[in-house]
Amino acid sequence: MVTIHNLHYSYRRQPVFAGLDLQLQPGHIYGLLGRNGTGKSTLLRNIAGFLFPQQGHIDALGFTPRKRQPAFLAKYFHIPEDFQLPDLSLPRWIQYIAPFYPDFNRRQFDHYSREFAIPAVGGLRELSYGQQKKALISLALATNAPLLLMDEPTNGLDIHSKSQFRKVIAGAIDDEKCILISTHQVNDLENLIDNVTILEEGKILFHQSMSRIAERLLFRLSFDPEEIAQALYSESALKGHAVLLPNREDQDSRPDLEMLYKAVLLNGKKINALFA
Amino acid sequence: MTTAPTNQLFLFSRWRLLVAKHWVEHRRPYLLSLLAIGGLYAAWFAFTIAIDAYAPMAANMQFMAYITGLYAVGCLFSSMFFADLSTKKDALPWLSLPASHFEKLLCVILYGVVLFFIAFNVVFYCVDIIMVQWSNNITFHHPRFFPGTTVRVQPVTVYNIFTAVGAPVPEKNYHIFTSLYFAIQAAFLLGSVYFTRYSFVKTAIAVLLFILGFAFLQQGVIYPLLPKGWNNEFLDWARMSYDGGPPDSEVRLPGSLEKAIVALGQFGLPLFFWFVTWLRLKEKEV
Repeated sequence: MVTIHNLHYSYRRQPVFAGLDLQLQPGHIYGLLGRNGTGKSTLLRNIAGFLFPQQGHIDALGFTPRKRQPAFLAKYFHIPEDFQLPDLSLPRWIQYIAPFYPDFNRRQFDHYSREFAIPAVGGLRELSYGQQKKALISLALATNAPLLLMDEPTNGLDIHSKSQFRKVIAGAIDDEKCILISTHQVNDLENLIDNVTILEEGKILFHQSMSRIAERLLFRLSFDPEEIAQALYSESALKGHAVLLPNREDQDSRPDLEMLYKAVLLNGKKINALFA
Repeated sequence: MTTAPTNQLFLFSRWRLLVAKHWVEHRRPYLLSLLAIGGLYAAWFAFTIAIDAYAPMAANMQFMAYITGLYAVGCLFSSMFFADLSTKKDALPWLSLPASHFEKLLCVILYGVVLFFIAFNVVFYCVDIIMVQWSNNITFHHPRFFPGTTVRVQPVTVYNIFTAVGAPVPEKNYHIFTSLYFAIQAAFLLGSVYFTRYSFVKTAIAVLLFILGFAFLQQGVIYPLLPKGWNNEFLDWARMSYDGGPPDSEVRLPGSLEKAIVALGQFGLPLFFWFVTWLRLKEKEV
């Protein structure tokens, strides 16, 4: 669905990507994790065609994004971190923007709006930032665009809305769709994403599915000093130490995204070697 | 590689959606701006009627008010169209809206050039006709005479911008100012895409530098090449008679060539600037 080959991009003299390769497949929700300024938004904007690769090639849904052809624009939806909605009421906004998306489904939009409890009366700009974001997410999902790019979608959402967000996104994915969510709030994507991509200094440091992560890595609490010392990553918890270990005996554990993220940043080579 | 199913450059149905969306999102500021323009003209004309006892609403004043307003508002309006592209939160939804750059540019030209020009003229003449009537009413009911004479101040007529009557160079049969307006407005439209910040000021400086360059070419390069006593005007070189009559000698380009050059300025330059704007839009990165 999206193939990035040898992507080079830099802002003036500050290089962001130098030969990045990445493939995204339909039917998956990818979590793009990374520190501030590591190029998460830049990657999303390259895929969306807002920025142009200085070297390399991006193929998204069979199109070259930088051409920004209407047929391509109608097949993806980008939710930026910072956005501005027009000074219209919600129904009026939908009335004028929905026809641009041939697969837009009004029923779905109403369903998502209800899930997010977005007030239909009053102007969009009278809504809070979080409510505006929920309106934008509802529109994005109702367009049924096969590719959904979300940049920090949970920023500005309250705790209840974040759980609604996870529920709605989990219900919206199907075999035809691919969702790429960029965030630095790792915990917001817990139980939602099925693939983790960690970006560091313009490179893909880690790119694995959650099932493979659960298969190869073991997340647990430990009280054994020897085990703690040998762990790929450990941190003190309320009781004992939370450790990340190679999963040599096929034990079941629930991957902790925040821990995985920290572990990959600290010990990326060793962790990647376990997936070779 | 997937082939696009429909025309990716221009599709009327898509463009119509774009035009409707633009109208519903911007109609309020547009209508308020037109009201403000009308109000400013009414205030200015009322002021001139109040202070000028001998030539209230003179044709020249109407002409200057029209041209000044058209250039100032038209260029400012143009430079605001793509100003949104300088901020990510406005630019990203605009660029990602499923329509081609060409359709988006055509939509801007429709509102910023065609409809603006029509609306501006409607507002100007709505105010101008009323104020001319009011001014004539005053001079009819309260006759005025030029100081020390029995010559009565005459009623004025509504100035017609679409004829050469009253134009600065009437014998040329065109309004050089209105001819150039569309080219300059198109330059401001290009400037709003080209410059990410302070586009109006930067474009104004660029246009000013071009005008200064042109003036230097005319007066600093061409004029010294002419024989003594000859005047240099754009597309017209003449040795003037001292009694103010027709020139003793005159050199002009053949009529068709002169018309072609004027048409180039009137239609060619805007098209050129719009074309460059389209290219810049396609290459715009946010």
